[in-house]
Order: sequence, then C-alpha cells, then structure tokens
Amino acid sequence: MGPSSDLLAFFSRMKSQGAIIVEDLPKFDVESYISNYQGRTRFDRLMLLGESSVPLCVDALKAAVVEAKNGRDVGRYRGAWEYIRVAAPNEPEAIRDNAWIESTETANKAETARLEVELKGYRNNLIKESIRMGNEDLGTHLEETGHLKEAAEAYGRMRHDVGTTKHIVDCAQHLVSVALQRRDWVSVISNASKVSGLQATDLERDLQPYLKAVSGIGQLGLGKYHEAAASFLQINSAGSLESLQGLITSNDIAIYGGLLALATMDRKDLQTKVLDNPTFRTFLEHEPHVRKAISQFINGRYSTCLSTLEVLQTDCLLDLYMQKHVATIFTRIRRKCIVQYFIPFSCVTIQSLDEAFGRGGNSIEDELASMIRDGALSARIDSKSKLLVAVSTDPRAKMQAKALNVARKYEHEAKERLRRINVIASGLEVTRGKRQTDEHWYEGERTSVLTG
Amino acid sequence: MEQLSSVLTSYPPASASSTSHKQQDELARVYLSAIAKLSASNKRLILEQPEAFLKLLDPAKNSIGYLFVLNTILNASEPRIGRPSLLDAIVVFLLSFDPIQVRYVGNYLLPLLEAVGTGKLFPPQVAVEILATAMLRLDSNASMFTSTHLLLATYAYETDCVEPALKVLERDITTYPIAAQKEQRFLCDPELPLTSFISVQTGLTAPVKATTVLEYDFIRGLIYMSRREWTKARKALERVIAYPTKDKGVSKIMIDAHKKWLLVGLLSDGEAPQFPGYTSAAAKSAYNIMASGYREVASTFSSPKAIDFVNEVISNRPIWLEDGNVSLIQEVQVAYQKWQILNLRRIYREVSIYKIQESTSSGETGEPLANPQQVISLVQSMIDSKALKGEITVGPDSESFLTFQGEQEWSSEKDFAGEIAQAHHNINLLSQEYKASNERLSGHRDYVRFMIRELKRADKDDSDAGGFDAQIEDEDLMNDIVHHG
Repeated sequence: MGPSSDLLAFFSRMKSQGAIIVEDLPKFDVESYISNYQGRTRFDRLMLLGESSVPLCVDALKAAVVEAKNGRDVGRYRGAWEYIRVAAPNEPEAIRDNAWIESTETANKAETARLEVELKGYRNNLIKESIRMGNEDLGTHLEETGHLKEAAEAYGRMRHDVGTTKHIVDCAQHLVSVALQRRDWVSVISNASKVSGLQATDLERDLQPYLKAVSGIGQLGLGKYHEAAASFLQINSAGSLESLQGLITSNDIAIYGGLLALATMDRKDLQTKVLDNPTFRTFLEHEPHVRKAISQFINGRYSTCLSTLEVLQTDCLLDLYMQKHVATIFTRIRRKCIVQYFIPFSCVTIQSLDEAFGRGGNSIEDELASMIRDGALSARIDSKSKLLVAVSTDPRAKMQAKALNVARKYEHEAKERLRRINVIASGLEVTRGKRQTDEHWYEGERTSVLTG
Repeated sequence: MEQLSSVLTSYPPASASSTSHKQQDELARVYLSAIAKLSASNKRLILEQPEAFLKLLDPAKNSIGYLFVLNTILNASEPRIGRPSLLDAIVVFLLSFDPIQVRYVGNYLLPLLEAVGTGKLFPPQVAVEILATAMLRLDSNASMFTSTHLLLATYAYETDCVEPALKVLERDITTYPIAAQKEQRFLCDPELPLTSFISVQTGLTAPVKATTVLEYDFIRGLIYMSRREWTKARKALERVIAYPTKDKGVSKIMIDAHKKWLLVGLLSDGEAPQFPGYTSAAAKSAYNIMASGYREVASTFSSPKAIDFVNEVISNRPIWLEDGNVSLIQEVQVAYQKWQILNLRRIYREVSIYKIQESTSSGETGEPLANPQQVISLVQSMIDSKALKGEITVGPDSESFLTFQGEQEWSSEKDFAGEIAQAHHNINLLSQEYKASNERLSGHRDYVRFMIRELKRADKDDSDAGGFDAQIEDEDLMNDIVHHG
C-alpha cells in the first residue's frame, strides 16, 4: 500500500519547508522507540518522526497529539494538530479539541498569575531560598506550557539566590534542558561547563555522564564533531546513568560516539579511544553494528564498513539531534575510507575504486574530483588511462619554489614599505581634508584621461 | 656676436674635470648669472642667427648654454629657424645632455620636457621615446617620482604610444620629492642623492601632490590593462589602493582603483585578490562599502556555478556602465571559463575534452559550450597564449584529452641558481636604498625634534629616579626630628 494522497501532500509541504524526508522503514516502531524517552523530549521526537518518516508519520503524529494533550502545552497541541490535519484528516485526532484548548489556556494563565504573585510575596519577604524556589516553580510551569524563553529567564533568576552546590547544579540543569529544546547549543555547552567547573567530587561523579552527554549534544549541534566525539567517548558507564533518562539512551550514546569518532579520528585513536575504551565498550555493546563498522575500518575493510553503516543511516536520519548532521558525517566517513584505501598506492585504477566504493553503477570519478577540489585527497585523476595518481611532490623543487617565492615576496614587500616611508616623509599621504578638491580634480580628469 | 659667443662657450672651462666640486659649482653659478644678465639686444642676436649659436655649442658639453639658447628660441614669438632644425636640435639635446649640468637649469629643462610631453612639438611616438630617454638620463633608475612621470604616463596612455614609455613606467619608484632639504654638498657632486637635486627648488620637478602619485599609478594600471598584462596592472592598482593615508582620508581615485583591482585580480590570479597587509583600515572599510557588485562578482568567479556568476554580472550592469568598467567586465566574463579549465589541473592529470565541456561553463552565457570542437579551440588558444601548460592528445577511442604539464618555472639547477642570485642582488640593492633613506630621515627636522624631546624626557626620568633615591637617603625622619628638636 503506497502512501495516501494526503500524506503525499503533507510531505511535499514538509520538503518545501526544508525537512529531511526518509522513505525507508526504520528498524523500530513508534511505540517501542518513544518508550525509551521521558519528559518533553518525547513530543519533539514524535514530531520529528511525523515530519520526516513517511511510513511512521501517521502513528507518530497521533502519538504526538496524545502526548501534547497529556501535558499543558497548548502550542504543542496546535502544532501537532496542524500536521495531522493535513497528513491524516480522517483520523479522530484530526478534529480540533477546542474545549481542551480553552480550559487548558485558562488554567495555565491562572497558574502563571498565581506563581507570579507568590514570587512577588517571597521577594517582599527577602527570603532567599523562597525566592529561588518561587523562580524554579515559575520556570517549571512556563517550560511545561511551552514558554521557553520566559522559562529560561525565570531559571536564570534562580542563580542570584543559590545557596549550595546542589542549587547551582539544579539551576544549570534546568537551563540546559530549556536550551536543548530551544536548540541553543552555545548555551547548552556554557551551562554544562559551569557545572563541570564546580569541583565537587561526588557530585561530579554522579553528573559526569549527564554533563558529557549534553556537551556532546551541544558540540554536535554546532558541528564540532571532533570535540563532540571526545565528549561522548568520555561518558563514564560506571557513573549514574539515571541523570541521562529522558535525554538520550545508551544506544544513542553508542551511535553518536561511534559515528563521530569514525568520522574524525585516525585509525590508532579509534583503536585506543573507542574499541579499547572500557567505559565506552559498555555502550557499544548495545549497538553491535557500530562496533563492527569501526573494527572493519581499522582492519582496512572499507567497503564492508560502509555497507555496515548504510544500515544505520535510516535510523540516524530520524534522530532528534543527529538528523541534520547525518549527511555530513556519512560523507566524511566515506571520504576517509577512500583516502585510507588510496594511501598505500601511488596509482590506482578508477575501476578498482568503483568496485570498492561505487554506488548504484555510478562511477566514483566525480566524487574523487570533488574530494580533490576540497583538498580532502591529494591526487590527480588521469581520465585517459582511468587512473587515480598520487601527487608525488619533489621536495627539492618544492623547497626551491618556496625559497624563490619568499625572496620575491620579501623584495616586493620591502620595496613597498620603502615607498611608503618616502611617501610619508615627503608628506604626500592622502588626508581627509584633501578629499573634496580631489573629487573635483577627478571629475575633470575623468573625461579627458580615462575615456582614452 | 663674438662677445656673446665667448660668454656662451665659457662654461665648462677646458680644465673643469680636474677641479674640485666646490670650484665647479662656483664656475657654474658664475656662468649662470652671466647668461641670465645677457641684455635684450644679445638675446635678439641669438634669435637672429639661432642655428649659428646652436652649432657653436655642443649639447653634450655645453648643456647649460645649449639649453639656454633653446629656451630663448622657444620663448620667442617668431624664431628665425626652420621647425625641422629646431626639433632636431631639441632631440639631440634631450638625448645627449650632461645630467650634472642640467641640475643647475631645471627651470629651463622642465618647460622643455613639458612641451615635449604635451605633444606640442613631436608626434606621439617620438615624443614619448625622447621624453622617457631624457628622464632616464636625469635619473638612470627612474626611481624618484617627478611631475614628469605623470606627464609621460598620461601622454603615453592618451596617445596609445605605450611601448617606448615602458622603460620608465616599469621601474620601481621608491622616493618622492622632498620640500625643504638642507644639503651641504654641491649640486655638481655626482654622488648626490636624488632627493637633493630633483626638487621643486632646482626646478627639475613641479610640485607633487598625493593625487599626482595616485593618478600616475592608476594610469599605469590602465596602461597595463590595455596591454592585458593583468598581473602588472594588479600590482600598479595595488599601489593606489594601499597608498598611505592619514586622518581616515580616502581618495576617490583609490575607490575607483579598488574596483578595477578586484576585477584585474580575477583576471591575473583566478580568484579575488587579498588586500596587502599595509592597507589602511579606513580605506578598507570604504572599499567594502563602495564596491558592492564587484565583490559579488569576485566571490562567484571561483565557484563552478557559472549561472550565479552570469547573474551577478547581468544584474549589476548599471554599476559597470556608471564606472566605465564594461569592457573590463567582458574580459572577466571571457576569462571565467579559462580559469575553470585551468583549475582542473589541480584535479586532473589528463582530462577528456568531453569532461571539460561538461564541467565548465561559459562566463558569458552561463551554459556549457555547445560542442567539443569549441572546447578544443578554446583550450588550444589557451595553450597558444601560454596561459596553460599542456597539450591536446587523442586517446584510444579517438577521444581528445587535455594533458596538463608541470608548472615549474625553471628547468635546471643553473636556472634556479640564477633566479636566486637575482633575487639576492635585488634585495641587496634595496637594503642600500633603505640605508640611504634612513640616513636622510635621521636628519629630518621632525625626527630630530622628536629625538630631542625623547632625550629630554629620558634625562628627566633619570633625574627623577635619581632624585627619588637621593630623597630616600635624605629622608631620615629621626634625624630631622632630632635636628629640629
């Protein structure tokens, strides 16, 4: 059964809005996938499935509507309803529940007003702890009702009245949570690092997985893949993983860490920091595919490594944090494989590269050309003999060219500077005052001189 | 007549070469005042028989006298000399004058050069040639800027007689006329630095302003552009845009030069040029504001998406029209595909013509070329014009390929050694110039004043510091109290 016309219309709209559309069936179903997560991330993830996955769209959106109605965030409900109205207008969830919207909105407003009044009372009494808790309550409420910016402000105000290390950590965790929802990666990293700097040993041990995970997500969001990989690889599986609940699962950690490492690290680091890393191994056990791909890369079986990864691609494309980076990360891994494959040779036939890396009968030549253009591969293509030839640099010629270049550059620069000294010594600089007369001169001259 | 001739030929005396600079200087000045005092009747005498007087004097030896006679003739309303013989005399003089003697008569020489450089006397080809030669006689390196430089460049550009002017235009100018300069040595001293005799006082240059210098380099840029020597044009314009400024001043010539510089940079290097490190910040920000359109073209030039490039060129057409850069933009459009092909050498060692046709597009239409024949002729023209090192070969399936060849500039160790020696020599010469500039500037009034101030301050600091130490020693409070008590 192909997708219905409503669904097609929905996805063409999504595509025009820049969403990534995944048509393949992922390895999970909505129910089991979402049960791994808790809290507000559930809704975000369901919506992402709805936006991106053709086979899971309707199920995910229905679940999203239910999820929204379980909470108090009217904006979320409206968003989910907008989607399902287009994607599956015949489902019962596609009928707008105005009564719920109204009652929830009224209740939310009343609650906000109540909390603000309370907070004002605490402020008047000048009891620090109460003010802090008042801010926290207000922040939580605002976050739950989807007012993320205001929530962040309320949480931010908590910091003025912190008393213990625990308070600082609470405050930072709230801020990180809001920043993650707002996709404000810089704020995620900075708040996480504030906690890392606290130097409270037992607290640090408990929080280590959480801090590393959120910094990893933040760095991933900013496209700093190498740093992100390092963060994920450092997550201590022996530490308390409770703090990660609702955020990411052990499987996610394995995939994020493994793929990012594969994309950014060299063979030696992959062996020592990933495969031989006792703490990360626990995570890798959840995702045997990633583990297999890494060891295949290390053993030089690049094409099998890539086909192993191919399996993971669909799932990654439906991941909340990974989705936008999948294309880049997979291209990097692929390019790395090609580069590694080529290293031992001075010359390889394009045919053999096609056999190893070719995709769907298309020749790899164009891809090689773009790699060379980007500087990823140091080689030249010989289209006549169908060869990829390594660039053999003659160090002597290179040195000579460099020496000459330096000499010429030096001479040029020295001359220019000498000129400048003498221009200034003769008082011939262009000054601001001269500008007017200058223009006058210029207009006159232009007609006579420059038209020649 | 007799008397007049004896006055005119009295300098230089036969024994002049053996005398000291001081005596030579005196002799020259005496002679100058003698001919300056010649009465009107004497001048009339010259005008009556100009050719006789010109014959009497040897332009190479009696340069001052010869120039004086020439000047008298040129200033007269109706000289009794045929124009051809007068022009001959001028040519002979300008090609053979004594460079030391004319230092005394800059006020006669400059008007003559100006008359030549404005085309009043000779046809352009001749005028440019003798003007350039005369300039090199005066200053063999032509490394000092004078008002005549601009005259030459403008005239050569206007009359499109560039070739004979190049021997001057290609020299590197490193010094500029200085206003007041105390010089102990005599004008006739051959060792005298350029700045001491080429100045407004000696009359060998008219006053030079910043715009004079800017315009000179700007016109040099235009000249090289008309010769399609893009790298030289870029360097000339680079001098204009990086010209020293103060008080955040920016000249309109600099703004205009920057626009051309961006385009010429694309032609010479295939990518947007980088500002030299010494460009002033004020100028840079002015350029960035004023060069909209140009920057967009420059940034799309190196991208393989020809259509983006073409769109930028078309949409900014009013700007090109207004700035008078239409033909330059057309050059850039033609060069677009050539650079795309040249850049393929970084990717391919041998590339099929079909691939070139497929992966590069024309900068004029934004479309790939219609057939392989056009590609082949384009590539062949690039090879012929030495823009591309490579050759077109035919592969096994009778498909044509372009083979790129190495880009090494020199072929043997000997060549390389020669290149390095040349560079070394140039740098050595430069360091001499640096020394000379340093010496000259050390004597500059402002610098001396600055040094005196610095010294005074250092003295003051020293005395302060000493005083403080002394005070500590003195500051024996107990003693003081005891003393007063």
